[in-house]
Parts: sequence; C-alpha cells; structure tokens
Amino acid sequence: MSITKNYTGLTLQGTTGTSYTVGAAVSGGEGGEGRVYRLRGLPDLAAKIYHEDRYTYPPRDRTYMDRKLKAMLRLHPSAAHSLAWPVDVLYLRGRMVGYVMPLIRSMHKIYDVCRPDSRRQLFPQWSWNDLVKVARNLSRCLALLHQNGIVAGDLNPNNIFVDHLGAVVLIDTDSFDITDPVTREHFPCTVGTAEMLAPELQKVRDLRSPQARFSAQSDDFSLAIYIFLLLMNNYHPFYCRQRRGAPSSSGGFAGNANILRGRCVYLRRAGGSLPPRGAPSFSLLPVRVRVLFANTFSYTERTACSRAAIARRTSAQTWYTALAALQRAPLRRCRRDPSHLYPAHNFRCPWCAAEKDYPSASPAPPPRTAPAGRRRKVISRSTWPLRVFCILAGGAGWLAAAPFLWGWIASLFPALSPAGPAVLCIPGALLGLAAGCGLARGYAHSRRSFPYWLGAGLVCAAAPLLVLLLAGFLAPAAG
Amino acid sequence: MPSRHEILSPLPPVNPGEMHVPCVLLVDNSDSLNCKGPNGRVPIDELNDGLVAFRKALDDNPLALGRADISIITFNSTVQTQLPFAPAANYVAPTLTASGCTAMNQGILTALDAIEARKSEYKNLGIPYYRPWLFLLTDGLPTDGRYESEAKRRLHEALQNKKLNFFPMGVGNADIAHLKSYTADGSGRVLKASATHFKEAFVWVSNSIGLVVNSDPRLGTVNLEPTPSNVALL
Repeated sequence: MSITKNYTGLTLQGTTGTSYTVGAAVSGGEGGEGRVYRLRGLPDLAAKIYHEDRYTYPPRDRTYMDRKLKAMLRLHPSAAHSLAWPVDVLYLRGRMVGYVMPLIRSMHKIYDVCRPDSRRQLFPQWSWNDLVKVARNLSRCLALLHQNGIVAGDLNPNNIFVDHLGAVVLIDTDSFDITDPVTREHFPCTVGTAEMLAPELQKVRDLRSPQARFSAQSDDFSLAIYIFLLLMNNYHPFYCRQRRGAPSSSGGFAGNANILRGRCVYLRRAGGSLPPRGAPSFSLLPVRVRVLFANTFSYTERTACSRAAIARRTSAQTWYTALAALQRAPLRRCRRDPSHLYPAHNFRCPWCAAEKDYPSASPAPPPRTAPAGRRRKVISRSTWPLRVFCILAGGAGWLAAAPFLWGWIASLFPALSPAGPAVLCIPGALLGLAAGCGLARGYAHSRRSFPYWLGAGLVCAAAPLLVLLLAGFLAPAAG
Repeated sequence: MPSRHEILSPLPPVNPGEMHVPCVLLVDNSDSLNCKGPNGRVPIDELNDGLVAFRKALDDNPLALGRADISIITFNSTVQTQLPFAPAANYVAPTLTASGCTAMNQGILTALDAIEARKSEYKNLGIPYYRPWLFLLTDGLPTDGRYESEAKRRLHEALQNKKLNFFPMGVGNADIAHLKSYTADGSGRVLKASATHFKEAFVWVSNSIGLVVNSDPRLGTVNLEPTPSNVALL
C-alpha cells in the first residue's frame, strides 16, 4: 500500500512564491501515483500530490519530476480546457510534492461511455451521433497535443474523462512525453495500457527502456482503437473468435497478441477467425471511415513495426476532420427501436442485427422514446408518392403513345385488336410500377429527392418513345 | 445451508467487447467454522463479512467490475455452487452456514471444471480473458483423501502451464504445509490468517483483480500489492 499522508490544511508554495492551502481530497481522486485535493479559495483548481514513496529513486526522482513539471509549465498547449495541464508546481519546505491543475468536475471515465449498459444509465438520451462527437473531441485533443510537439503516450481508459456534452478531458498529463522547449531535455513516457499499445511498443518488454519509442503515431494507434470502441459499440478491433473446428491460437487467449500479428478480423478474415458474437458489422461505417481504420490496422506480423506501416497510420487531425464530416452526414433511425441510429447508407439496422446475435446481458431495455432536441436530419422517406407517380406516368405515357403504337401492336397481337388503344395503359402502368420499385430504395435514403423524380419521369415517358422507335425500325422489316 | 429451490445457471458475460477475468472463491463451510474464537467471533460470520467486503472493494474499481466474472463454490460434506459464474455487477454475497466435513479436493475439481466451462464460453463468444483466479479458503485438513491425487494433478498441470492464478489461504488450524503441496512445485505462496480475523483477505483479492485488469496480460506475474497486515503470505 502506498504511504498516503493527508495534506488537507497544509500550505504549499508555488514556483513564484504563491501560497496554496490544500483543501479536502477529491472523491475518486486517489490513484497509483498520488491523490487529488481541492485548493481553498481557488474553486477552479486542484492539486495533485504524489504519494510519499513515488519518484524517490533516481533517475526518476523528485528533482527529475520537478524539471519535467517546470518544462510543462513552459509548454502550455492551446488545448487547455481539455487537458488537466499543470499551471504551477507545488513545494513543501523546498521539496516538490505535486502540481496545480484545473479541477475536473462531473465527468465520467471513457469506458463508462463506451460500455452500452453504463452509457444508458448515465446518458439515457445519448445515441450513436453523440459517440461520434466524443470521438471527434478526443481526436481534436490529441491533434492539438501533437501540434505542440507533445505525445500522450499512455492513453489509459482511467485517464480519459467525458462529460454530458461529450467534451473530453485528459488527466494524468504528468506522464506525457514532452521535450523542454528551453533545455531540450526529453522526458519520455514510461507507461502504457496493453490493450491500446501500438505494435512497436507491444514488442518492447520494459516500457522504461530506451527501445520504447512513444511517438505521435503510437498515439494515433491508440486513438484509432478508442474511435473503434466508440463507433462499434465497445468492440475492440483486435479481438476475434475462432470458427468451430478451426485451430485455435497457441497458448492462451490473449487478445493483445493479435495487435502484434495484425489480426484485425474486421479488415481481413484469416485462419477461420470471425468477429466476436454480438459485434456490429464493420460495413455500418461509411467507406471513408473504414479506409482510415484500414490505414492504421492493416499490416501483417512482418510489417507491423515497419516505418511505412507506422507512417501510414491515420493522424489525429485527419480523424478529426473525418469525424466532423461524419457528424454532418445523414443518419437513419431504426423503425423497430428508435434509439438505434446509424449511417444512411445501411439498408438494415446494424444494431438490431448485432443484438439478435448476442442479446445484451444488461437488464435495462433501451429507451423507447425518441430523444428530445434532435438536431440531426434523419432521412427515411416514404416511397409511395414516387411509386404512385411512376404508375400514373407509365400509364399516361403509354396512353399518349397508344395511337402511334396501336397499329404495330395490333399487327403483332391480333387477339387484342377489339380492345382498343386505351388498353396500352395497363402495360404502361406495370412498367411504371417496376421502375418505381427500382428507384424506391435510393429515393428513400438519399439527401436529395429531385433526381429521382426526374429519373422516374424520364423513364416512364421515354419507354413508349423507345418502343415507338423500335416499332419504326421493325415494322418495315416485318412488312 | 441455504435451501435452493431453483437451480441457478451461469449468466452470460456483459461487455463482450472487453477482456474478462473469471474468479472462483472456493470456500470451506465445514463445521469447524462454527467454533467461537477468543474474541467471541465465529469464523463463518467473518467469512460472510469477507464475501460482502469483496463486492464493496470491486465497486471502487468500475473497470474491474465490468470485466470480472465471479463464482462462489463452497465445500463441506458436499460441494455446492452457491453462485454460478455471473458478471461481478450481479454479484450478491450469499449468507453461508457451516456444517459437515471438508471435501476440499472435490471442491477443487468442481472449481477447475467451472473455470474450464467459463473459458469455453468466452472462446465461443470471442472474448479474450486474463489468467483465471482461484482463491481457496480452508481451516483444516480435507476429509476426502480419495480425490487428493487427482486434485493435485490437475492443479499442478494448470499451474505449470500458467493457466491459473492460485491463492490458497489457511485460517485458524489449517495445515499450511499441506496447502503448499497443492501449489506448483510445492513451494508456492500460501496466505495465512487467524480463524476470526481474515475478511481483509477478500478485499486484497478484489484489489488484486483490479490490478490484473489494469496490467499487461503478456507478463507472467502481476506485481500484486502487499497483503493486509493480518494476512501473512508464506
């Protein structure tokens, strides 16, 4: 157990001589490294105080952390509101004990947002487009860090917080990989979360050794995994299951081994592997987004750590633009369950299909009422107006062409001649119905309906004209 | 023994997209746990408190709560599955009563079978898992020596292939050397505590599961936190 001293009530000094009085400990603010306290008189700030036995041995002792925190003070990246970045270093009797940072309020950890059951409890009004927003905000946060030359390194799910508006905040910023702008001293990141680690880091046994190279690209890898978790209902891109009868992977069942092997079953089904039960179909995502995942995750065991594979990874900035575009793209609402939202190019609801495969063990059913204040445009038109128009246009088109066509058709089908030219509106209407059914699906989900009306009119009007032309060519030949 | 009119079946795991850890609490509820200790407490009450404290400690770690699957198996004259495998969020500590002898070896076999069944469920669903945990608590020698060789054989096999995290705990008059013989090479770690003061061990198990969930599954051993002051690791 780490030695925890209670700092409440003590007065600490900042770098410029400012005095801070430590207030109560923040509930849930106890971690492996230290504890978070409020500061009396400063409601928007908090103090992170390291445990006594932390950072006591060189090379990573208190003087090292002191230099690192001072370097971080000099950096102040522009994403201040989405990072718990140090604003001052704290000393007790000359010894560095921690740092001051903005206080994070009413936020939830990202895994509570990724997990469907806890997400339904915390944010019952949220649906898929809110998850896209969280993914976009996380990308933006990392993009800003990378622009300032900072690498997050360890994107631990315990260190990413999300609030009810979908804003993302990263904490434990003192473990980030930074370079002092003045002294150029490099303070590397020495910890990682196995499930998110890029393959070049998975290979390294000890993340404290110099072989462990955290880079913006390794951050981008972890970011891609988080975006996948958010968009694909908390399914990890590298976890899969074996088809029955297929040989299982040797020794144990560690999902993270697949990261080294490049076995992303959503991109490439190798060796009888399938997505886990209940995983949504990867094709629910638009092609543009799937390509970004493919750029990051499709590599083989041989090429996993090659410079080309690392450089090809989608950057945080690219993710940000793509996710911002995805937020503006049209969505469909499932008819069976109004809380299911998905991109409009899908013909069937991917969430219903996934739920049929593995009914979620959570007892709480999804909310049946549509969320209030929906600002998204959801396209799902009724196709009957188009079908009726096609039938009428087909019938009318053929009726109009009847006087010209009748002679030719009567000669081909003498049995029909008593009926009269008006009977041609029946095949016209049937052809119109066929055209209407063909166009209906596209019409129902496209953003603009005008091309479909135009197409319907042309097809129904053009059909008799074509037949007229044919009749003109054929009649002389038939003689 | 609480009477069971309905047969409970295992519940499927929640959060199928995350890695899971199956954990079996295999506890002794033989008659010797009814003996009052010097401080007036009865070991079976301490055990029940420990099972409650286990859930409370897991609640402090929501990441682990969503990833752990817990089962409680008791052994006295017979082996009873008090709680078949279910997600940790569904875990409700049962109230156990003590009576009968100590069929510890059969209990070990039942626990190993339950773990294998849960692992094959994970494989069917495509859920990766951390190394399973088996926590064994007993206060005396087993009375079913017939099954001892098979229990030891299966345990040694699992431990040698690194397929199990096994933590036996002896309380009161338990024979620590005998418990050690169940561990790999006969020299593994065994926990020891007094007969009426051991519920903190359950908190330690729960915290350790939390550490496992946050650790790198490739590593052979996880650096667990030290045991609480009233529990010795021998």
